[in-house]
Amino acid sequence: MSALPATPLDLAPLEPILARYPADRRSLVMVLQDVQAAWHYLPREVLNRVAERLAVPRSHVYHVATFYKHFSLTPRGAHTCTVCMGTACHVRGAGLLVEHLERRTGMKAGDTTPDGRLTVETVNCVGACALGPVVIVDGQYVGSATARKVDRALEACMGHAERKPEDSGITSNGGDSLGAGTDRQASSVVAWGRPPDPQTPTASGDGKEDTE
Amino acid sequence: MSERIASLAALEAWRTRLVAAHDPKRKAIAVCAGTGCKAYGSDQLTAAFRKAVAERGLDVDVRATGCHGFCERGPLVVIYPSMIFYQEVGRKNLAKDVAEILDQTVAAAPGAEQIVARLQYKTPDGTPVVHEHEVPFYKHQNRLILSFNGKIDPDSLADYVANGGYRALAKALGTLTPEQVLAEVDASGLRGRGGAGFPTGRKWRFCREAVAPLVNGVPTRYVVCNADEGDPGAFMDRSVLEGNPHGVLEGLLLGAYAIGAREGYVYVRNEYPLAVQRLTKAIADARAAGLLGADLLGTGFAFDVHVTRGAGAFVCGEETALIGSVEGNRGQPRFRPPYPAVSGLWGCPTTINNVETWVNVPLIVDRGAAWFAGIGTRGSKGTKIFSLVGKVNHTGLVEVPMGATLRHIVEQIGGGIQGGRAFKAVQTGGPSGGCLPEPMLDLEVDFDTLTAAGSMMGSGGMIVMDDRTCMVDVARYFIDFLIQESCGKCTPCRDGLIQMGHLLHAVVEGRATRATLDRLEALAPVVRDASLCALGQTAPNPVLSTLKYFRHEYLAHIDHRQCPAGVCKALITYRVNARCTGCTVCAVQCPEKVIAGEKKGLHVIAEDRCTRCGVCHSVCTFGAVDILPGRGGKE
Repeated sequence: MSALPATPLDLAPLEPILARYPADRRSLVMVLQDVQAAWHYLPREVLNRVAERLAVPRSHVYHVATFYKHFSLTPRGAHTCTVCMGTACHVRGAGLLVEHLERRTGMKAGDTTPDGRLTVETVNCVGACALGPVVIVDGQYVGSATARKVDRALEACMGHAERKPEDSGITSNGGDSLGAGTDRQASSVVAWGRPPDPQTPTASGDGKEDTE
Repeated sequence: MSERIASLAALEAWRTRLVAAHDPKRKAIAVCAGTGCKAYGSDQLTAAFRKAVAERGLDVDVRATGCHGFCERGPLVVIYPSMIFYQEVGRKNLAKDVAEILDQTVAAAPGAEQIVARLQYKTPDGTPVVHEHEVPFYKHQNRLILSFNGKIDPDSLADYVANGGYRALAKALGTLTPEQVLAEVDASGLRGRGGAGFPTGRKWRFCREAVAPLVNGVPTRYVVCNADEGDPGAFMDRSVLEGNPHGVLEGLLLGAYAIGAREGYVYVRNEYPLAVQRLTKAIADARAAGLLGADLLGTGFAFDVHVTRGAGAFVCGEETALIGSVEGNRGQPRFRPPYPAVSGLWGCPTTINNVETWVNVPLIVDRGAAWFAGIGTRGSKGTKIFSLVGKVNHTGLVEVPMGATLRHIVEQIGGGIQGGRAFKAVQTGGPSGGCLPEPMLDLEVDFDTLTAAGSMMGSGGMIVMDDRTCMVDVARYFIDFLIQESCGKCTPCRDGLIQMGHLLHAVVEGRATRATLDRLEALAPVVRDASLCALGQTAPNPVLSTLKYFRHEYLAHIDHRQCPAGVCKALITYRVNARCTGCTVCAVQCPEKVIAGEKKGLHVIAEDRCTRCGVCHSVCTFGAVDILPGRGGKE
């Protein structure tokens, strides 16, 4: 886990989430889903508060939070590139795409770039098997994906403003908590991977905006 | 319709009005809005059609429908009422495609339509096809469940009702007792579509006859729709939920009426956002119309449905794990019995069926058990949707009667293997299933024949493999998948699979001996027999079936250190052949910079430093990079 936030997290966005469900343990998975959607990960302070409010032991919250793959205890990138590893995609070469992305970003699938801009992950099947191999860049499906198509999709979305269109109001309210104190501030890392591509707009500016 | 429907008669009256208002000769443009077509931009296409229709002042209905199934050729467009079929519309030139379809096909009088030739489907021998039902992919299917998908707007309750929706519910509430509904489903011979094929009627009866504990003074039972479609390579449940959410709700309503439940849950995978969105809308519309909630349709029957999203755990497709997840716990299976039918959600009797099972129920109640039992084989009734994917020409969703042969599905509907290559295997049943070779293609597919052949129906994934697919690699892929997805509760599955993984990695990496296979074959039955739930019990199937039918491939890896399919990196060599034009693309793209060659000269890969990443092979447009089995390029 990365360093603890230096400033306390703003827990305000948690209230509307808790208000949606009955305050008992049967709501736990749903609450965690919404927390993950709001913060893009499950911050420790939020989990502690969830445990208190749903009257379940912290151990149980972690028991559940660590079981499901959708939940992350570490901050996720502002952008997500998901490679489908379903069988249909596998036989059509999804593994080579993962290797391409790993090479390109200099990290392993599942990791987030040090500047917090991009997470590359794999998923077991997104059910778009007829289009395989499929890569999802910030919610956009790239069908019959090739290394080139994926690069283009990533460059298109990462060149633009950091905020994702599907982000809820919660995220912008809690924007200060998103990156504060963690290693998510926009650094001088150019573009989203290595080697630096002079064609791609730099991260400065739009990256800072996100972490205001 | 926004007001509540107060009675059964009011529902029928509304339906009559809807049908009367519908002019069957009115032109309509149906644009597929399934996930596949959306990926190819069908939302923009629908918007462009709407705008252009308005500009031209045409009286044409433009509707976004559920998945048509022929995902590979998306976006798909069908022009009603003539059923003219267009494929790949708007992929290259959206404005031009829309304008030509409107001006040449839609604006013309029926019978006088001109066809936009470049958007037509053409058979492999080049013959253009005009109508949807003539396209071989559709011609050889029997679409009962999927028939709604191309026709109705999944966001429209009125569309569903106009096409006979909620008629089965009205019939049941008006004229049948719960026992009669149950008897009808029982007599139909419907078996669970989630994979195991357990008779649905029997499952319902266990639940109905189990003692229901009192919750707030009311005897409580639950119905649950399992939409945690985790099998990689299968997406039929997704398509049904996205294309016909009311059909699933109607099935749940009928099941709840039959077993005496007042509440239901739909457990949907987190990876299916569109399905969640459409289902949530359908539930809200049904509530507003009085088709869900208290005293529905004025009959006194009460039922409501909640949507629960999964959080990314394959094992939650197992029914006891799913229950744990809905209850807010880890999704870990528990011992059965007691079965969920007796003690399920919060200890109450619970009927859990898969999406496709539920959506069959309204058809059975509406048309009768005898009609349904007339389709299919002796032991398996009705139709089955398969997701036909992999290295086949026509990928997509295929609905055929039980008992159709694999050959019919792969060759006639699927149009054979991509690029004219050789068929090697078809994998059915996901990670629980097996790989069947060419001689098994004449197998009549139903629950029992597939199990007898060492595979499984599973939820209906059908992944076609050609001679460039390595069967050892496929087995390794499934075991790696299951290692990740094992919940870790029982030792045979948790540790047994890891050991099987080590052994398979040894084979694909060229470190294995024949003793490796002996160990695999000794370990597999232990995992199968001693695991707690179906995940572990069926996990060895991909290994055992490939060992049975493709042992020679394992031996090639072990004895000759070669991967005949050219997949396993440790056992292949990339080499440039004489077709090289010296375009330099591979040398530029090579991440290791180990390709040498002059412009317009033959390039050479330094095989000792090559990491076999495959970039050169994928970027070469001249087919000049060969993948040879074995290291050192021995043929």
